[in-house]
Amino acid sequence: MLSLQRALLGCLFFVGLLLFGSEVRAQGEVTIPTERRGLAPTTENWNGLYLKLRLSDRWFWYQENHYRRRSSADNRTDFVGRMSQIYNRFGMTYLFNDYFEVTFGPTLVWNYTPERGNPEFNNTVLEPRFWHQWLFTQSVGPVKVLHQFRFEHRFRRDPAIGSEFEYTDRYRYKITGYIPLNKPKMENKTLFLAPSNEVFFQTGKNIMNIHEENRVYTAIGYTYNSVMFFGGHMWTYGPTAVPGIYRNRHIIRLNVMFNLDFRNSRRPIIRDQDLKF
Amino acid sequence: MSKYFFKTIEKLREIEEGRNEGFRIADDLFGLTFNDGFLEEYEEYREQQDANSLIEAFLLNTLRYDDQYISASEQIKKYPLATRKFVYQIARDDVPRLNEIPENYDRLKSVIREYAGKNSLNLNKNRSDSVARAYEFFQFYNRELARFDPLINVIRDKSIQYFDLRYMKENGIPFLREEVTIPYVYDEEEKNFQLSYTVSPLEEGLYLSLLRYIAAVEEEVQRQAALVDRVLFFIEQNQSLRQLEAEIESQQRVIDRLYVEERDQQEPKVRRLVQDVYETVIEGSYAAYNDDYARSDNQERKVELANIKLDLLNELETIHPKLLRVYEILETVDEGYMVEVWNAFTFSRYMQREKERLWDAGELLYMHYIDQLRSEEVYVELRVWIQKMENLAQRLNELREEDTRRLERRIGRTKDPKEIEEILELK
Repeated sequence: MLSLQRALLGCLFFVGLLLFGSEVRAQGEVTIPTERRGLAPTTENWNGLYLKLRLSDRWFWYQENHYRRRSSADNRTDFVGRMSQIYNRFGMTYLFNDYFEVTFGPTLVWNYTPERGNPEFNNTVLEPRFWHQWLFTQSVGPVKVLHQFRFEHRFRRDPAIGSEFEYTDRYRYKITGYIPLNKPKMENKTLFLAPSNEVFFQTGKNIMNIHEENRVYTAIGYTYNSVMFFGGHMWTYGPTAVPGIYRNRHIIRLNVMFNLDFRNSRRPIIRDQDLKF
Repeated sequence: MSKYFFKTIEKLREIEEGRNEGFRIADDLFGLTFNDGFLEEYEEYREQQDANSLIEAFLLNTLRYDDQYISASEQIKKYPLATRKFVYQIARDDVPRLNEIPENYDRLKSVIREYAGKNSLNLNKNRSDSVARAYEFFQFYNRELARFDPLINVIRDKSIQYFDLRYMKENGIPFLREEVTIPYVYDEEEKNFQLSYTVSPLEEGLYLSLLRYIAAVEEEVQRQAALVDRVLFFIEQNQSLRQLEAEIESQQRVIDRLYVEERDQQEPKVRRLVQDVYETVIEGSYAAYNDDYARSDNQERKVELANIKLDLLNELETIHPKLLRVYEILETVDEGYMVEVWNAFTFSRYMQREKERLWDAGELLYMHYIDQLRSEEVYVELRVWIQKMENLAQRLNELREEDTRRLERRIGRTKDPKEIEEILELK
């Protein structure tokens, strides 16, 4: 385990050496940067399918399937140059009331190697997680505000061949606002704006910086019967493994969400009315 | 009296000597009253009645304790003596007249009684001179017929055969008058209605003369009855028209209250519908009926138009509550086609349309019916459109629970109301 950590650190230092040679005084000697430095932004494209299947009055099946790509190594603006992740999140949701729900379940992520064809790296490595989420909502006028607390217990490993799994915890908080644009409130056939901000923290044996990332996502969406189209631009900003070095990404996200009711009990609320004049 | 007494003795003598012609002694026995041909109005008849009363009083006293003759109520039930009468031959030509006279008389009497007792004639007798005159005419003949009755009755029961018609020919029949004067009052002025009849000589035939007289009176009666009928019909129509106009006026107030004064209490779209229907029907077809009514001089046509106007107003009153419910019914169906949805992504709860294509087509058709309703000029068609709406609403309600996938595919391709009607099987 220790050797894995050393190898990882060595790798990261190597990357740091390439990018920030000025910070390295001599081999094996690391100088902490005196000021925060950001890497040039990269681009990605995440395409997701979301499902929420209502099984009973309280229970839902939750599912996310993402197909994520990232920019090429030599062209950081092409969004889709390399495969990034296949991301599958599942869960059971218990709806306490209209303002609070809890979801828990597994996540299976396949992380693709950044250097396809490099014999030292696995093409993909699996990252299983267990996650649970506590979601509170509130209404502020016509705007729906969501407070999402998500906890992920991850088993990660480096793409290098022979690397071992490393357990880390992740703590996320996201605030989202659904702002209806063409209706007085969120309902069917509503075009809406959904800005959000999510902050990520992490802990683990070898985690140097508990702040993992911040995501600012500006999405626009439309609800149409059981389907919701949702997409936009997400900018992420967070530290790399090299202290003082930050990365940022511009991610185009395109999602389709299905909200299906499997209870087969949706009946008109008003029935057998007197329709005679 | 004595003259006729001797004539009776003379007849007996002729019989005894076998010289009697055209009469003989009847086989039947008769009571105390002997009448050889005197009408009740004749003095001889009255004198004989007085004499008969005297004899009856005598018999009553004499036979008081003999219940064979006197009833418990002290009336003579059987006479201890009897009379016989002469029976006169009736000419062959007169035999059918004996039946004709009572028949014609009864018919005449029936008409006179009907008109004499006509309440509407009594109520309207002062409307015109002719009506006042006709009223008194029938009153007069209703009384006058009492004078005919005795003679007609003896003809009817054939006892006329015991009457010596020569007495009538000599004395005349008092009620067969050539000149009749009927006094009447109109407009506080006393007037006379002069009638002239031709009375054919009794010598030519009493029955024939009576028959002709009855026919002449009947002719006048028919003339007066026709006049009365015509005038009363006109008066009744006038009354009917006035009554109709009063009803129309009253109903117009109701319609104005419902469609104009109370209109503002309704929500805007209902108010517009009520206003459109009012304007189309009242300011359209009703105004046209009004114009026709004002222009028409024909009483019957006026009554007909007044009835149409009243019917139109009644119809508007009947459909008014239905008009108020037109949008309510649609909203009820609309609600039935909505389900409450929980959007688990946006955490919002809202109503969402089910069977959208079916609903859209149904709503389109319903709105088409509303448009037709608001522009309908023929007032009797208003309820037809309302009925169509009711049928559509019920059909949509039925289809809400049925598997309508095929129907929705078909109906989603058209916006033509007629096609939608066909697909929904509303025709």
